[in-house]
Amino acid sequence: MNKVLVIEDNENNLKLMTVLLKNSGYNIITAKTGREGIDMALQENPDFILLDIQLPDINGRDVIKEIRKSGKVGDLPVIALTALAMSGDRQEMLEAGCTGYIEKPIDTFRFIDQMKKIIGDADENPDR
Amino acid sequence: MGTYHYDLDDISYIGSIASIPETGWLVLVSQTTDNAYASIQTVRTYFMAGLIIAIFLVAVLAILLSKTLIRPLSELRSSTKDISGGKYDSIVPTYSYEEIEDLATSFREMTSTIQNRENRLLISEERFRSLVHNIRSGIVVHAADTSIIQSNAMAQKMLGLTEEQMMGKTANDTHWQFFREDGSHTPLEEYPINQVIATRKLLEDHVVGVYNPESDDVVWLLVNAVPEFNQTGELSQVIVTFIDISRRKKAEIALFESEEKYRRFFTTVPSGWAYHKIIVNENNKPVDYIFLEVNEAFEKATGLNKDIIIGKKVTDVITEIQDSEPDLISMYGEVALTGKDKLFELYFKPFNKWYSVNAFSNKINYFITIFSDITERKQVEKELEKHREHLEELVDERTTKLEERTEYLNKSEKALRFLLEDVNEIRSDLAKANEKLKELDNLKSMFIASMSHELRTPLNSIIGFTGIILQGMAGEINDEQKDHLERVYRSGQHLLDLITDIIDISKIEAGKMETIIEAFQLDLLIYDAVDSFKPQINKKGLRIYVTAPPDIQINSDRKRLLQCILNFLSNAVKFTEKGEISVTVNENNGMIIIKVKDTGIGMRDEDMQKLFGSFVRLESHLKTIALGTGLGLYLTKKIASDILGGTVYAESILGQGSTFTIEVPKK
Repeated sequence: MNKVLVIEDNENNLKLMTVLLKNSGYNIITAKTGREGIDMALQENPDFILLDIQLPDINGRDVIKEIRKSGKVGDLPVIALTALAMSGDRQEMLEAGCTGYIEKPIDTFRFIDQMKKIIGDADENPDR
Repeated sequence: MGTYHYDLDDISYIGSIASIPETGWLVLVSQTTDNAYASIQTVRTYFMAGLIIAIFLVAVLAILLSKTLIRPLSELRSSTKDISGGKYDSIVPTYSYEEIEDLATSFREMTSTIQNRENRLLISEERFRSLVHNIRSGIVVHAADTSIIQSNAMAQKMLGLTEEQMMGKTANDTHWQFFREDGSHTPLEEYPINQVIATRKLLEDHVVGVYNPESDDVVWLLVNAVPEFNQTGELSQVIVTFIDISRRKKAEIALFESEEKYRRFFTTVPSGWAYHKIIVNENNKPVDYIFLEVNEAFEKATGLNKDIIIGKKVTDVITEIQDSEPDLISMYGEVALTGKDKLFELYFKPFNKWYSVNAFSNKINYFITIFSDITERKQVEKELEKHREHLEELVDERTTKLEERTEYLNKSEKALRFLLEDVNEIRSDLAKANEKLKELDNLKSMFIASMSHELRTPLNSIIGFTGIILQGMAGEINDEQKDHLERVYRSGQHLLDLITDIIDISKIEAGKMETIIEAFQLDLLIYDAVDSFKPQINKKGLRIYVTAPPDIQINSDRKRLLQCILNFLSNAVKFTEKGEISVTVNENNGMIIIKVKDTGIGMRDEDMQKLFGSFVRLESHLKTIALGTGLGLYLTKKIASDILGGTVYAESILGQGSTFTIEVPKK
């Protein structure tokens, strides 16, 4: 339970999360667009997904809906990464079917703990 | 001594006895009745025969007479009947016998005489009737019992009754309505007819008003009533004649009223009024005058008594008049003699009064004065004159001032007009500027919105990667490197806070801040807030106390309330170097009162006032170490009032500490 798909268009954020996740022993696959992310989610069988909701092609809500529609990965934990001020977005994402959310900007000192807390609800804690 | 019959042996005898005086002897003589009456029988027989012959002869004579005498007489008798029946043209035939013809002739003459007399009588009666009928006086003849037995057309017209209505009407008839001259009802005994009956004397020129039902008005009559007596001296009838004097009467009343009116007018008119006669000397120069008549106002205005002065000379009444200035007697004399009227005002020294006098003449030597006492008016005028003079001075003074002021105002007006033009220009500029400001405001909103993403994204990378290096994920770092990186990290964090505050404020100001009202437990929120400051509090060696009733549930925006409490705590920790910080929660009347009290540096009163303004950084010796955005309290106040519907306030004593309070509705 350590294969994680990170869908994020911002290079810096992607790199930051990659470093944090690798440092915690996760296997990482990445996608930079919504389309690419959906495809990878269906093909690569990740254990959970970190999804930035502001993507250049398809917005995060539609990405979740698309993933939830497919029977194969319908119950995959999805953690939305939302802007701090956008509480409306969070509500929208929860309604669309995400498992939980982490506010951006991420706190590098707390990020892994926050993430584990969410997927722990959906699955057992992976090893560090 | 008498005669007597006796029968003897069926033979009737007739005898007579007589006494012989002084002898006592009676002598009886008798014989049979047949014997006695035999001669009488013979005479009777002769007489009867003669009678029969006489009757026969008379009959023959009568037949003759009837032819010659009785017929003409009978014809005369029938003519008499005719004449008495009014047939004066009945023909009396001529006769041959002289005596009868004489009789007939005298009869004819008599008839003609009678006929003439009768004709004259008819004419006279006709004239009389016409006179009575046409006379312009009313004539009513009353019987002794007052009932009317005759009336003429004029009477009927004046009384408004027909002849039939008049006939038989008595004085007692309730139909009559008589009036006295003063308008009161005439009592029955005063009726003209009743007066005449009572006095048996002629009633002359009695005036009476009678209600005329025809014209529905009272007609005034001048009545004369004449009683007539029969041979025995009894009153037989009363002849009442009358004429209509209504018009005269009305004129009289009008005249009386008019006279009365003018008399009253002259006596009661408020102007003094007097009628005088001028007295002239032998040179026809006026030297005096006499009061003939004055009214009440004259008495009042002059103080002279009417009863005393009438008929008196003015020089006797007012001796000073001869010395009066102007010479009143001469002036009035001129009016009385020339007929020219005068109108003047006069100060009359003897009375110490002012009069307005109008003098005029209605006939030569006489004059009338009409005047009023104008003393009071004169005094007022004098006063007014004084005031007017003073007023004129004042007006002059004021006018000068006013002119100066006007000039000044004109200048001012010109200046104002220029100013107004400038103002209009400025206003137009302002409107333009306002437009621009609105554009700029929009731009600001757009700028802030984009800043929220564009500024924070790179900043997040800076903070994020600094954090990774600090955590040693990119390899070992020495203490100096760590210290530097921590400074980068804190500055980045500070910058991020600043940006976040700015975004929040602009959202609240634009009314676009989202509010999420939810139920939560307040004490837990307080502990959460306090917990996040624990490391700093411990580091500074401060103590912290929380006094909150357990299980307080409130309905509010949790995140924003937390933000406010965090801001208070942040300030308390920042400005307190020793002592303690306490947080207390109370509930009062549906409001939750949260106080954060510290024992820090406190604030000056003048600083308190600008405390909740934006970008406020109070001067303090701790300035260098007190990091902050300068927006914290401003944002807190905005959130409390605009988002939470509450208030914030602060109390402080310089050098002793501050207390910040937020009150929000529980629900």
